[in-house]
Amino acid sequence: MGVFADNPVLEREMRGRLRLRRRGLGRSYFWVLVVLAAVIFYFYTRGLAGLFAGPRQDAREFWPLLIYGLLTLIVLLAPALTATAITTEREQQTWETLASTRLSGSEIILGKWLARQTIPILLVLLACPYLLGCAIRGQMGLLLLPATLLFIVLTSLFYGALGLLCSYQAKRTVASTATALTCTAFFCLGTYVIASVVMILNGPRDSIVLWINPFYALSALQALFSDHLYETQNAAAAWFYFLIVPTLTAAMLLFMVRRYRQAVRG
Amino acid sequence: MIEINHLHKQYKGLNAVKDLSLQLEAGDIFGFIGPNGAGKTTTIKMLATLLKPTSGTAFIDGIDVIEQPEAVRGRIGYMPAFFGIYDDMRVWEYLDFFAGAYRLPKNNRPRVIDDVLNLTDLIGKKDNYVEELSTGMKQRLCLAKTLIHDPKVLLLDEPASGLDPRARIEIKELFKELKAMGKTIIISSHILPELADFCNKVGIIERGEMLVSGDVSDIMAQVSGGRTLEIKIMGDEDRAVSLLESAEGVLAARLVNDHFQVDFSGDLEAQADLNKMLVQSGLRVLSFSEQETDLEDIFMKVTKGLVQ
Repeated sequence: MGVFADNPVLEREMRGRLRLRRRGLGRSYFWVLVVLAAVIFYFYTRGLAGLFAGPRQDAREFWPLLIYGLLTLIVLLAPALTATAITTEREQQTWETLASTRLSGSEIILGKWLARQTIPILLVLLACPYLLGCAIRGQMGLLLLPATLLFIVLTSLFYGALGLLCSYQAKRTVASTATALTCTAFFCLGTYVIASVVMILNGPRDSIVLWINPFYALSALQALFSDHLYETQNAAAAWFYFLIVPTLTAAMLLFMVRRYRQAVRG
Repeated sequence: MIEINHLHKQYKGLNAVKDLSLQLEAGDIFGFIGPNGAGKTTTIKMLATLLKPTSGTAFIDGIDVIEQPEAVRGRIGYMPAFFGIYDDMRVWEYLDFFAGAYRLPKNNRPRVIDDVLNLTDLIGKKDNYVEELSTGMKQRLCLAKTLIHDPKVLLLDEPASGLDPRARIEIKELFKELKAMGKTIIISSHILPELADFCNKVGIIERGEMLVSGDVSDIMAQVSGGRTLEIKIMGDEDRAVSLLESAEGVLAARLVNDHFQVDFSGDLEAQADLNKMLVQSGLRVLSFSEQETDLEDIFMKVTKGLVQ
């Protein structure tokens, strides 16, 4: 038994996310979903075919739309999904029961964290053919696509862990979700505000605080592969992000795994 | 099976449990009695490895609760006072989840699930969604999940609270079955008749302190300081009082309504002798019986009604 293999928490969370509840309701939902999926699939494949057949410039212009759009969805979805993970258990009074079983902290915490990454990762997978199309058709270089994908996946894992930490600390789901989204807003928007204030006070220099901003770091990564004018600074910002985000993710998860039983309150 | 030595738990300056010691043998059913806020739940949570004691030691089946919590968890079944159940699962799925959580081999799980469902009389609800069950059924399902890994020790915190009288009786019957299975059970409650039927040991806790603990009969004798006899005599009451007060083993005698209440320190033979003496003295004895002391009487005598 481990975090991935035969982990009941991971299985339950995944099943709960994919389950079509209640026979009658489930069947009608099922057919609505089938029709919806068929329509989406049609437009999805048509768009993809158009991308490969279209001019190179279109592919180059579509690329930033796609990656920033995907990043926006990820930074909103990932923390919102995990922010409910532990508080919901507390609210429905199941956390204590779960903590008294033989499941280890890593099985519970990582199981919940990974299961709630399903939707963000599914989005990344859905975007993959388009990203690949843009990269090939737009001749954007071999490394940009895997570097961007890695960036987005790491961001998703980080914001997922952040949401889970909020859920670990808060008593109520509402408070946890609000805190997680406030933290996200700080990283994505607040850092720009701080950087602007620093710039006003210290003159036109890029503030290091922006290096933890996912949008800024992603733009630095993009510039690193396409624009050599600011190579050193872009490289520093991108490398810093690649270093700090997994470190913070690991630190948050480790903190929760070690102290998950203390989340029992009564 | 359970050994607690000088257990102490402090929360933000408040002593939730003070110097609590207890020893239970395998097969003991221990009724943990106390008012709300007395420290019952804290003690049970410490045994369930959910809270770390401030000081003291606790062993379950010889395993240190503080040093080896993982090993202890495999030997205990814990049912919290306020529990929730995953409503979005079927009954068998819920039990399968906990079978996995207690690391039962996959191929054994269907048989074990059927066994606990049979024991808790929920086999007919196996494929129902949990949210379709009544409160009493949910309580039994929670007990079924507590038993899924066949634990040696059961820690049941207020297991019958919030149940209607029928569900209360059903769950009481289930406890009797568990007692017959030889489980060691700690069951907390502030509803005393709930415990009186099947506990062989009790402990009364108030403000974190164990006021008294041990065999139910010993405690009754210890607390009441002997037996109370109820004697109904027709006729000369004054003579009866003087005769009773002068009799061997009688500590005090008083007339209550139409009968005498006699505090008596003697054994059953002495009781029989007292009865014989009264009759031989010419008094007309209508009834002679021992007043039953129940847990409620003991609880009221021992506790002061103090809550932290």
